[in-house]
Amino acid sequence: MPFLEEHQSPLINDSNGNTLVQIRNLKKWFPVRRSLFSKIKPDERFVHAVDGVSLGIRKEEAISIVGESGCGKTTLARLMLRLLEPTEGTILFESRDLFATTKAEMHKLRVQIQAVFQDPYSSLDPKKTVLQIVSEPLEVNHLTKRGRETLERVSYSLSAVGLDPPPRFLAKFPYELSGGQRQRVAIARAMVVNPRLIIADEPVSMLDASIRAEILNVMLNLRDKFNLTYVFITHDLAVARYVSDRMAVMYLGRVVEVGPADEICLNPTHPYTKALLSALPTTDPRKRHEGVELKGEVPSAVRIPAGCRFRPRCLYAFDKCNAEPELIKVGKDHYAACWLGEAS
Amino acid sequence: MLQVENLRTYYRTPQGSLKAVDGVSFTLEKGEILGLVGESACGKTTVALSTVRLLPPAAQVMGGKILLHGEDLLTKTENEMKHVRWKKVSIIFQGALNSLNPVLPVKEQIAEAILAHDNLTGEEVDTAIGRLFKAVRLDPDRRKNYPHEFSGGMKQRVMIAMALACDPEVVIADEPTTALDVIVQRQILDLIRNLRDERHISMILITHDLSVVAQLCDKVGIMYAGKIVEFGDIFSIFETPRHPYTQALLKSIPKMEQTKTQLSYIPGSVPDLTGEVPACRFYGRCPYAQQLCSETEPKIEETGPQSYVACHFWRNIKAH
Amino acid sequence: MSSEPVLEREESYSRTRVYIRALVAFWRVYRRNKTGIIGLCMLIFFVAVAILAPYIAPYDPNKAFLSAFLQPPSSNHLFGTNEAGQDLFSQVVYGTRASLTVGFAAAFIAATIGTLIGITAGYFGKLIRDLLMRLTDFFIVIPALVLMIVLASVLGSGLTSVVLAIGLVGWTGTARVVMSQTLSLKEQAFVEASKASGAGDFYILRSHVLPNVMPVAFAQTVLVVANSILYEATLTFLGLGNPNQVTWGQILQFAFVSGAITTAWWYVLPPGLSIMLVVLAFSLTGYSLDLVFNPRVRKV
Repeated sequence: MPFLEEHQSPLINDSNGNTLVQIRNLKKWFPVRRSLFSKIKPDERFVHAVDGVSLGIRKEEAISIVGESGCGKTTLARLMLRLLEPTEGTILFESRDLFATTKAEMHKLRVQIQAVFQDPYSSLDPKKTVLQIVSEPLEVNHLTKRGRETLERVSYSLSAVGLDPPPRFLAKFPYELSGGQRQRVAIARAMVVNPRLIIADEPVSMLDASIRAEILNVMLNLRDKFNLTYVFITHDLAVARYVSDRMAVMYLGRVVEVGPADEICLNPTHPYTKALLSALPTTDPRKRHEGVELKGEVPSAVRIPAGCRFRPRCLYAFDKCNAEPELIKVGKDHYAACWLGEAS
Repeated sequence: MLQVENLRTYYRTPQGSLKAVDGVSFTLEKGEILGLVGESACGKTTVALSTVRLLPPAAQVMGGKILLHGEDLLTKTENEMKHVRWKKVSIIFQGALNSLNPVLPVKEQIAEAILAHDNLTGEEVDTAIGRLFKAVRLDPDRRKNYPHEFSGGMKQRVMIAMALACDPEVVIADEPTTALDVIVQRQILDLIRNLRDERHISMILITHDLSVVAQLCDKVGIMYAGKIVEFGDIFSIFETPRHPYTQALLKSIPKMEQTKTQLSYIPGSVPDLTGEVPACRFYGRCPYAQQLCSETEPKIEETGPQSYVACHFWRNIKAH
Repeated sequence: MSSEPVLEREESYSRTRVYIRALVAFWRVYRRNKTGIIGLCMLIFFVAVAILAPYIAPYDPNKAFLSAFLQPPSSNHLFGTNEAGQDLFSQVVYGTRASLTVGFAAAFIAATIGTLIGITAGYFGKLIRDLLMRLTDFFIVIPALVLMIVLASVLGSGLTSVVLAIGLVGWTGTARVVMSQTLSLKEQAFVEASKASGAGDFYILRSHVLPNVMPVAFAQTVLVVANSILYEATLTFLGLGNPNQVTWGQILQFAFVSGAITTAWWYVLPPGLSIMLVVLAFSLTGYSLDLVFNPRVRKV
């Protein structure tokens, strides 16, 4: 599988040995569910949720995967958590293939990669107390014996996310907590096993705008304190910029632009990134700008457009766009999958 | 044109009377877009429902007036309200795009709304729906489709079309963009603005997202725990916020235009509105709170034409 | 470190404490429902009668008063006597024991089978679900009573067969309810979160699905008890029970067989009324439990 194209390799594997996760030409296609009488055309048999993603995640960085619904970012997150098996390609965690490990090894790896989910209301079992919820990863992976040790580790975790003093929260049920507190519990649960990588799937999109900062700050502080690596999945570019060092923009199952967050927001190369940025509502009422630079609706992931997949909606398409571009270097550590980027 | 005076709506709960809306006043002129902003459960939806008198059975308007062209909507009978709803004031509920009946074509659902308030023939209704679809930038031929054949953004446009069906003067939109992606959200916001420009509709936009407000509104009312704590035109609210809550809200939105700064947030949570409410409801989370704030409720003080704030110490607080 | 609550021993946060708190919270909601309280009181009454039977019944139910055959109610015999001279009041009181026990036992069996099938069908893939659902449909389609009669006859007469017959047939309602609840639970984020933490399927079933399914299963089961008592009465009435064991159905069976059913109203009324009241009690309670456990208020 010649997936390490020349211009891709620094993307996947930073040669300083700084790479924690390597995503190699990952694909996940879901078969289309057919009802008894529908005829499925041969090229419409799969939903191409993730369609060839190659990306390296560096140690202790915070990287956001940004895109709208249907772009594949959530599927990518599930693949990284090994909740799904890939159709093609693989993910290496510290040079070990996540999908080729034995059960015993998988246990050890699982503990290194933990997750925080989107909905603080349904990601906690309503029938369990905070203690039970946060101690579950310890219990499931047989990391502690019951009793004192569990209590201490859970308390430490709760303290780390700002739920102080821990004894006050241990016996509470989720319905007794606010949205922000629940999300903190979810973070504490992810932290309790001392992971190296945390994947956060839209961790703040269901919280009120005024408490988002609360949770984001908790996560950032934890990163500094515990040398964590974060992958943030979000559709909100402003949040992505605030919270991450690097940003990867996804469209229809592929990464179309990746680079330092500030750089991408100030100098976007790919037209889709530009459209996303132009779509952000302003925060200054004096600077209201008109519309989005985009045509049409998001196509279904079943029939990926031929050539550059963004072409049908792109305002700048030209003849070269008949061929699907790979990620090309357009700046320092900045790559875009667009033929327009070749000029620079 | 629309004047709400001292509206009070309480909910009956087993724990007592929940003062969801406790003395809310504002005015809305023709062609204006008013934003009602606040965290969840601050009462903004209740204000909307009170205006169209579609409150759930546990809720009751306890006082105040809602004047539409001088007539108090709260004193009207249910029959009279039927002539007001949809024809004068219509509402797009929160999460409305999920309330489309999956087994009926969209056309029929809009027709239902029209026929409930107007006597038109089938053909007239069909033409009207065609026009509505065009108004919300949807292909009129698609009106025969079922809801599942539309994307989220398109469904929201259908809901907007439904709200415009009887040519109302006021449209209330409750969180119209919350469930939508960024690009679609922007398209809906632009659509709303265009509709206002074309038809001179007045709107009340309810949201918890200040950036939506910045994009679209002329006037803003900041609600907290059942009261409006600050009210004013969009520029003064954003540039010279007076109430500590407004200031805190503004500081918690990440701004793309500037480099990274630590976002701040508001510690604590909203007070329980059933029990004893401390005099200033923001007491306990306010960085400037003093003894007086826990004893006396702050009066509404004018800070400019059609602007006011409810805070004891707003003059001393630097509007940053 | 603050001076606030100090980290206590693990026992303070133990499972029992959690259950107690949950129970208290549940009770606060439940007691607001008047029908539920009425139902519960009736239930308590009947259970008390069953437990205290020896103290309430004036005579041994099997003792035959040779001088008083088929006597209407009198001060000696509150419910009168049957054709063998036995005191019907004592019979009805002791019958409470057997009827309730059979009801509970049968319902317990049905609940266990129903819950196990429900969570298996709901949690695992389409194939298993389809298989189990077809099995359930089979049991639903065939009239329950007919199936029970067949089973009870095959298993031989006696109360154990009755219990088994009811239990092995009456699980379908529970299975369906539990399956649909499991299906929706499976999609919840906390199940996904558990998997991401490394939990296996059985852990999730045991630790997350089962506790969340228990409330609906329990509410359903209370109704199953009501039905079981009815079925027990029917089956013993049809002669499939144990003539030496006093149950309400058995009393009715003797009334029928002896021909007294048309003339001696005091023979038929007490057991019939008892059955009706107990079933009512369970139904009211079960209905109220259902109201409590169905989440109608969702936080947005």
